[in-house]
Amino acid sequence: MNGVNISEDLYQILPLIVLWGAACVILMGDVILWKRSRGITAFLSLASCLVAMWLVLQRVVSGDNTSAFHDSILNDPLALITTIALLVTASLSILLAWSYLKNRGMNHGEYYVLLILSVTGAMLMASANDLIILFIGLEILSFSLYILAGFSRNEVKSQESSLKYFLLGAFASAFLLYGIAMIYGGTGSINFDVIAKEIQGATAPNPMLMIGIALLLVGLGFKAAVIPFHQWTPDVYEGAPTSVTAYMAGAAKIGAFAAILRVFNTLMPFHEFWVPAIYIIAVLTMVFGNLLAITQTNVKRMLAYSSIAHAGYLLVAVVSMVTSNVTAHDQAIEGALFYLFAYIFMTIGAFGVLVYLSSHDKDYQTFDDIRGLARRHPLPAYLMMFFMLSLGGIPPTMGFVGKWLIFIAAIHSGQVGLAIVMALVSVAAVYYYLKVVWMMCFEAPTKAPSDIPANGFPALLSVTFCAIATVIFGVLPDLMINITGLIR
Amino acid sequence: MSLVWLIPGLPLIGFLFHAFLGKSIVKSMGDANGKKTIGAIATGVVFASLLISVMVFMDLMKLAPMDQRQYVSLLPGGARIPWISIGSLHVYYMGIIDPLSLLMCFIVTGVGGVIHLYATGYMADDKDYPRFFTYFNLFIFFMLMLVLSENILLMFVGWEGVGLCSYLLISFWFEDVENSKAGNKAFIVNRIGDLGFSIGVMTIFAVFGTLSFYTPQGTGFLDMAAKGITPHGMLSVGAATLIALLLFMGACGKSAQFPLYVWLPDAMAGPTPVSALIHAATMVTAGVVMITRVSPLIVHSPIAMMVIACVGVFTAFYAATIAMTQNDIKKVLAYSTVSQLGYMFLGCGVGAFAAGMFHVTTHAFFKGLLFLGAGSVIHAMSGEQDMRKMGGLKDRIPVTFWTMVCAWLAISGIPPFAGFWSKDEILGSATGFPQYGMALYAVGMFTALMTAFYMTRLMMKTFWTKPRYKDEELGAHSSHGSDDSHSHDAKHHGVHESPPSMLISLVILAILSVIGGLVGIPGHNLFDKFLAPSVAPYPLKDGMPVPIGMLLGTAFGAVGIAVCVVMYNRRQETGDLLSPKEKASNALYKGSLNLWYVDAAYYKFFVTEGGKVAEFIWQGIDRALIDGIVNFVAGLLGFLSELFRRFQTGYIRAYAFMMLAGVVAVVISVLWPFLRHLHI
Repeated sequence: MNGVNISEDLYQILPLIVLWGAACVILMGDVILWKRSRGITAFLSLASCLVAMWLVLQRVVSGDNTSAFHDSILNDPLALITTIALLVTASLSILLAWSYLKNRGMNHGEYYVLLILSVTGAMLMASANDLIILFIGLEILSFSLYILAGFSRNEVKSQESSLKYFLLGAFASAFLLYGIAMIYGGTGSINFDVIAKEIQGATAPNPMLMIGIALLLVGLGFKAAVIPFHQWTPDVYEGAPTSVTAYMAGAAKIGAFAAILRVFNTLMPFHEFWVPAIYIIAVLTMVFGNLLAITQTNVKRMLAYSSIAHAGYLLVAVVSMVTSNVTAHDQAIEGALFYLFAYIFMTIGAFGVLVYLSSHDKDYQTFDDIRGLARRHPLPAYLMMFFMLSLGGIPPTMGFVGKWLIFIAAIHSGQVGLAIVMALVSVAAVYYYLKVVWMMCFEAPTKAPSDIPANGFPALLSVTFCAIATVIFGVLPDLMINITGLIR
Repeated sequence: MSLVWLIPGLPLIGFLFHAFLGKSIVKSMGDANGKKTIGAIATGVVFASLLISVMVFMDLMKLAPMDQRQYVSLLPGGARIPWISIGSLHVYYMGIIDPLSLLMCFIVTGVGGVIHLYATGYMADDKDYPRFFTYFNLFIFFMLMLVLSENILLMFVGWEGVGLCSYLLISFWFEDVENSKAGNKAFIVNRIGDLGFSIGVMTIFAVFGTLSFYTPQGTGFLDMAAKGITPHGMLSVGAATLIALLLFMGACGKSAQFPLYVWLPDAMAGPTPVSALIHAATMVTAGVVMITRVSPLIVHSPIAMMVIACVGVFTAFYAATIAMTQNDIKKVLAYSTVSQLGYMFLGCGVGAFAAGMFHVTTHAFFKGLLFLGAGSVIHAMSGEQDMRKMGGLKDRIPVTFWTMVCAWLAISGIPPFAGFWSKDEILGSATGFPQYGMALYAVGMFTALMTAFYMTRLMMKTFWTKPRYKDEELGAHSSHGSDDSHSHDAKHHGVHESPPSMLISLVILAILSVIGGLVGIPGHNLFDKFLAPSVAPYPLKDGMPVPIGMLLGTAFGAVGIAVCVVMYNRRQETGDLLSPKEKASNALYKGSLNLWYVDAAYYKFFVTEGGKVAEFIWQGIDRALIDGIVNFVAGLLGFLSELFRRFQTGYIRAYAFMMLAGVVAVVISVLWPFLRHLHI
C-alpha cells in the first residue's frame, strides 16, 4: 500500500540489516584482519546482536508497528516480542559457544557468522506477513542450522545429525512450499492480509486452500518438532555440538511458533478445519514427548524429548486462541509468548550447564556424566536443578507460571480436555526432570572429582543469567507479562 | 498509640538479636560478660515493652469508656498492609487496644520481665544461655501478638507461636530424651485443641463472613454477636454454641483443662523460669483470655457456658485431688495450676468474665512467684525436686521462704492476699448462676479447702518439717535428668540462697501477691470497672450475700491450712502423713499418686493401640494400596516408553515414512469436514 519510500522500508528491517552487515564484516574480518583471535569474532557477534536488540526495543517503546515492502514484512508486537526472544537466544548462545568451541577443537569464525545469519532467518519468519518471506526466513534459518549441526567435523555423530536434519528438513520444506503454492492457488495471494480478507468473505472454504493449510502445518510443525514430525529431534539434538543444540532448540522453536501463531491467527475463520488436526497433534506431542523422555539415559536426548513436549504445551495455546472470547484469545497468545521466553531460559540454561561442564576430553551428555555432580561441581549442579524444576513446572520458577498461563487460557477458551491432558503429562514429566536432580545430588559420582570445568566465565555468565531470569520472572511474572501483554 | 507496634516489636528485635548474634557475643565478649549482655538485652526489651504499654494505658484512660477500643497497626509506622487478601477474606496486621489487651500486655511484659530477670540468674551457668533467651523473647513476642490481635486469625498465629515456644522450652535440655518426650506430649495434646480452634475460626468465617473481632465500622464478628445478628439474619443459638464449644476445645488444650490437661504437668521438664512464665503466668491463661475476648459470642449459648463452667469446676477439683499426693515440688504446682485454671473457666462459664480475668491476673502473680520460689528452693537444694528429701529450709533460705509464704497465703485464699479476692469473686458469681449455681459453688469451695491443704503440705514438707538430707551430700549427685541441670561449682555445695537477680524477682512478685488483689475489693471493684468495655455483660441473679461468701471463703482456707499444719506437726520427723504400709493399702492415695491412671490409659489407648492403627494404615493402606497404584502407573508408563522408543530407529527412511503418514493424516483431518459434506 504505502511502501514506495525505500528508505522507510529499509528502516523497518534495520535490525536485520545490522545483523547481515555484521555477518559480512565479521566473516571477512575473521579471515583477513584478526586471524585466529576468535574472541574478537565472538565479541563483535554478541555486540551486533545487542545492537539489534536495542533497535528492536526502541521500536517496542515507540510503539509504531508499520509494515514494509508492500506489506510483506510486518513489525507488529507479536513480531517484535518474538524477535526479542530470538536475539536473547542468540546472545546467550554466543556466550555459551565462546570457550566451548575452543575446548572442543572447532574454533572457527564461521560459527558465529552462521549463528547470526540463522537468527536473521528466524527473525524474518517472525515478521513475515507473506508466505514467501516466511519460506525464505525458514530456509535461511534452516540452512545455517544444517551446517551448525555438523560443525564438529571430526565427530561422526555430528555429521550424521547434520545430514539427517538436512534431508528431513528438505523433505519438510518441500511440503511447506507445496502448501504455499496450494494456498496461492486457493486464494490468489501469498499475503496474509489479503488471504485473511479473502477467507473472511468466502462462504464455503476452498479444498485447495485447506490442503495448503495442512501442508503448511506440516512444514512448520517439522521446525517446531511436533509429533509425528519430530523424529529428527533427538538424533539431531544429541549429535550436534551442545552449544548448537542449545541455540537450535531455542531459535527454531521460536521462529516456528511465531509463524504458527501468525498463520493460524490469520486462518481463524476456518478454525473448524484445522483445529482438530492441531488438537490431535498437541495431545500426541504432549503425551509421547513426555512418555519417551522417561526412558532416556542421555541428557541431551532427554531434553530433546522434553523440547517436543513443550512444543505440545505451546500447541495447546494455539488451539486455545480459537474462541469468541477476546480476552481468552489474547490470554492464549500471551501465554504462548510467555512460555517461549520461559522455554528459552530454561532450555538454554539446561544445555548451557552441559556446555559449561564439557572440557576438551569430555563432552557432558549422559546421565553417567552428571552422576554425583553436586559433589564435584556444586554451582553448575544447583543451577541445573533450577532449570529442571522450571522445566518440570514447579513454582516459583518461570516454567510454572508459563504452564499456568497456558492452562488458564485453555480453560477460559473451553479446552478443558486439553488442559487435563496437559496437567496429567506434566506430572509424568516431573519424573524425568527430577531424575536428573536425583542423579546429580543423591548418586555417588562415577568419575574422579578432579576434572575442572574449563569453559570459563562467558558460559557461566550465560547460564547464570538464565537461572536468574527463570527465578525472577517466576517470582514476579508481571515483569514479563507487561512485555507479552503488548500484543493486546 | 502510635508506639503500639513496638510492644510486640521490641521482643521480636530481641529475638532476632539473640538468634543471629547471641552465640558470637558470648564468644567474643567472653562467657560472663557475653551472658550479662544478652540477659540485659533480653530483659531490657521486655521491660521497654512494659513501659510502652504503660504509656499506651495512660493514653487510653484519657478516653471515655465507650471509646476505649482503639484500632492500631502492628506494623512499623502504622503501615496497613494486608496479610491475607483472598476473595472476601481480608486480614490485616492490626491490633486492638482495649482494657483486656492492655491488661494482658501488663501481665506478659510485667511478670514476663520479672521472670526474665530471674532467669538471668537462674540460667547463668547454662551453656545454651543465648538459645534460652532467644526462645524466651520469641515467646513474649508471640504472646503479645496473641493478646493484641484485632482478628482471631492473627490471634491464632500468636496462639501457635506460643505453643511452639512452649515446645522448644520444655525440651530445652533436649539431650535428655524424657524432656524431648515431654515437649512432644505438650505439642501433640495441644494439636487436638488447636484442631477445634481452627475449625472454630473457619466456622466464624462461615457464619459471620469476617474474622475481625471488632472494626471501627462495627462489622467485626463480635460487633455483630453483641447485637445478636449475622450478615444473613439473626445469630442462632446453635451457631453460637458450635463456635463457642469449638473455641473452648482450643482453650482446653492451651489452658490444660480436662481431658486435655495431661501435658502441663509433664511440661515441668523445662527450666523453672519457663514453668513460671509460660506454664503458670501467661501462656496457659491464653484460653481464658480468648474465651473472654469472644465473650459477646459465648453469652449467646447457655449450653456452652454450662459446659465451660462444669469443665472448669471439675478440672479444678480433679487436679486438686492429684496435687494432694505429688512429691515433686514442681508437679504439685503444676496440678495446682491446672486446678486454678479451672477456677478461671468456672468464672467465664458463669458469665463473670471479668472475675475470670481477675484470677488470671492474681494467679500470674502468686503462681509465678510459687514457681520462682520453687526454682529457688531447687537451686538451694542443688537440683533436688523431691520434697521427701527436703525440709527445714525456713531459716536457710529466708528470702525465698518469706516470699513463698506470701504466695501460699494468696493461693490458699486468705485475705487480704491477692488470690482471695479473685477466687471469692468467681465463687460468689457462681452462686448467682441460674443453673446449678450452688452446686458449682459447693464444688469450688471444697476445692478451695483442698487447695489450702495441699499448698500447706508443700510448705510444711519444704520449710517446716525436719531436714531429711545432709548438706555435704547435696550437689554431689548433681542432677539426675530433672530440672536445674546447671553445673554447680564448689562454692555452691550445701544449701544456699539464690543470687540477687532471682531474689529481686521474688520480692517484686511477693509484693504483688500481697496487694495485687486490692484493686478488686467487692464494692470498690476497680478491676471490673476497668475491664467492662472489653467483656460482655451477663446478668447474674442475686447469689449469696458478699460478706457471707467472704467469710465462708476465708473459713475454708483457714480450715484447710489448720488441718494440714496440725497433721504435719505430728510427723515432724518423717514429713509424711502415711506410713509406707498405709500407702500401699490406701486406694485413694494410690489413685491420686498415679494421677488416677488417666495418663496410663491415654498412653495405652492412644499411643499403643493408636500406634497399631497407624501401623495398619501405613503398611496396609499406604504401602500396599496407594503405593501399589502409584507404582503400577509408573511401571506402565516406563513400559510404554520402552515400547514406543523402538520407533526411533535412527533410519532416515523410517522417519520420512512416519512424516509422510503424518502428512496424510493431517490432510485427511483438514479435509474431513468436506468429505462429510460430500457424502451427505
